[in-house]
Amino acid sequence: MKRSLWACASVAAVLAIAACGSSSSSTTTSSSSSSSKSTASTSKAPIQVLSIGDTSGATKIYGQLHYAGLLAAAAYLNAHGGINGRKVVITHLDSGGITANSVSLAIKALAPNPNGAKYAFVDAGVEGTEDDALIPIMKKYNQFAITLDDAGECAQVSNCPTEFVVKGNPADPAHAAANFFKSKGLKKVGVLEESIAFTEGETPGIVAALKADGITPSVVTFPATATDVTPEMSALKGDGVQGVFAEALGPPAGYTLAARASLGWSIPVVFDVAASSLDITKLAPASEVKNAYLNVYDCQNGAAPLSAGMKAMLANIPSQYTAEASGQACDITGNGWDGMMEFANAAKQAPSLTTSALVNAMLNLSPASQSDPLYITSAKKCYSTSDHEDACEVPGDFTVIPVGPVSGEQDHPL
Amino acid sequence: MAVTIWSGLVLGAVYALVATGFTLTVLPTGIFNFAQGALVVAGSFMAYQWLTVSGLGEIPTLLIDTALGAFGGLACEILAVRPLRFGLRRLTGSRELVTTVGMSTMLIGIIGVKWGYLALQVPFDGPSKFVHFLGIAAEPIEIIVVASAIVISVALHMWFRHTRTGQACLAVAEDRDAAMLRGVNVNFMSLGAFAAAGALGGLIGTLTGPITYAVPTLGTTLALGGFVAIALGGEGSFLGGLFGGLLVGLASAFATRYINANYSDLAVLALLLGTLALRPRGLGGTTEARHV
Repeated sequence: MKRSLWACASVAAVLAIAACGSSSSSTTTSSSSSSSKSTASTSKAPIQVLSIGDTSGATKIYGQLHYAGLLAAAAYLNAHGGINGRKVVITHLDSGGITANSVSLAIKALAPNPNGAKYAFVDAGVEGTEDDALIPIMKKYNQFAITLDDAGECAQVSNCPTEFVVKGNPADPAHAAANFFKSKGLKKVGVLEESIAFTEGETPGIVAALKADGITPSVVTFPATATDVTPEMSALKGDGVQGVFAEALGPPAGYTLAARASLGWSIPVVFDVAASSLDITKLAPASEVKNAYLNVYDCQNGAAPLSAGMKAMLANIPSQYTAEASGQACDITGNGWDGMMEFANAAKQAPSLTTSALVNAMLNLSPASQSDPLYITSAKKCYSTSDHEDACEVPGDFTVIPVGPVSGEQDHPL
Repeated sequence: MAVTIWSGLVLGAVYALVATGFTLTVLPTGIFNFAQGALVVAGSFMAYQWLTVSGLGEIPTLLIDTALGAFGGLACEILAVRPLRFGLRRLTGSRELVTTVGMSTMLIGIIGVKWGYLALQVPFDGPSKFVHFLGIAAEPIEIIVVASAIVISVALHMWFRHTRTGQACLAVAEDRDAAMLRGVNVNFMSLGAFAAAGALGGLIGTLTGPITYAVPTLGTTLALGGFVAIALGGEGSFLGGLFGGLLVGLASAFATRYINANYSDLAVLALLLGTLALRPRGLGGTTEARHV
């Protein structure tokens, strides 16, 4: 009797140890389908990452896909030994797309844990206004953070001493568009600008880029509430432009093509990066997308082979976001992915995960870390003590391709 | 110039149709249903659902959307108005303004849950070739929208003036208690008005969807545009709402084209203030005399 009891207890102990071993190698953040052959079990405490973004609300698609990129990167890292043998665990706070919410959530999370005491890395916001509002919060609590969009604030390091921006100079994609128009031999190009903060900040970049290429720009604006841009396009036509650069996010992209058709115009239209992140073939019939182009990140080019980063990201996107991600451009998930990868590279290089150590590591990324083939939105990333925006993003990271449907996060020209 | 005028007329026609929906509820009940814009947006999303997803034709879609819009209007009346008007504690004041705004928010939220927040293209299962006239290339659906605004406004104006039920609605608008004493069923009037306005919203959404796309955030823009159209044209006047809507569209288009996009709303506001300063009851409003 005693012997059988001992045998049962031994079996139970073995089973318990096996169960504990498998649960410690899974993360609470990732439900991806990546191969788990290298789920290295570790007894080290996991690295805590905080994500703040809108996974609900009117603009949830951007927040969800950015978060999906973050989760995919965490899953990839955890499947390959983690960061310095430590798993990455993400805590996500949903702002619902309301800036005030993101700020109060950030304060609640960081006030008791300043100086990176709990979270080694904060992915600070997805939407422009949200990102901007979180910048002083990260500064106040001396928190290492990476954000997507800063409206140029982090170009002054005093605003963002501990925060870095995934994106580079907004003029970089503009140069790619200007080069495209130049390659077509165009001498005068119209800029159709939606009257919102984002595109108003974009226009100076495209105007400068066009002028640098010897092209005369002509700028016309339309209100964000417009349901028709035919008068504006008519004005550009009357001005003799030979092509149009359309800063028109969402429905206005469709209005632009409809207006071009109604004017009997066949000039090339290039949509800006923001407009190009959506599937424009869903807004206009096939007849209207002819001679229409997208100013996109290289990763969006369906005609080019998938990069190592794209392959890894696509393989690790959590299943609940796979379908949604496939129908949108790679830069949305790619920015989340890149943020985590940049943090991972800095963390591997840094002597510790304190804020100052991570900041120092980001400013001194090794050549291999700067050119990590797993990056998606730009081939190389680097930062300087005077500018915390990605200084290594170049116009070559962008391209202009014909409009086509989106699948697998890429545009496939018609 | 011609392009700008036509663009303004099309936009104005949309606002005029929304204003007509507002007037339909204001006349018999005195209630301004701020959810009217959301009902139009719901109509456009339902049009996308039937035309694109279910593959129905244009006429069945119009009929279904009109019927569903009527149900939507009834829901607005029952959920947002009736409890205040006819509940155990009859409340006075303009609380319906608040509850109908809440109804609008709820409708947009339901739309977001069902179809998401990205714009959806609403096809038009009719003629697609541009119609050229007076230097304009107009899409057939644009012509239909402008014509609909005129026809519906005029038809409703005539109906309210020259039919027994229409006269009863005007009587309720003038003096609710007196109308009740004369045997007018004000409860039925209220339900009928909201159902009719909702039906019109569903119809408008189906017609305007191919122009504006199905966009959740458009509801607020349409409601505000319709509100300004009514204020300009005179509360309770269908013809006033039509002219007001067209004026709003033209002012917006001209300001955008010849001044700056940022002056679009300012121009409309200036037009509104100027009109009300000269004619406080609006273009189509009338001064009422009362024997004392």
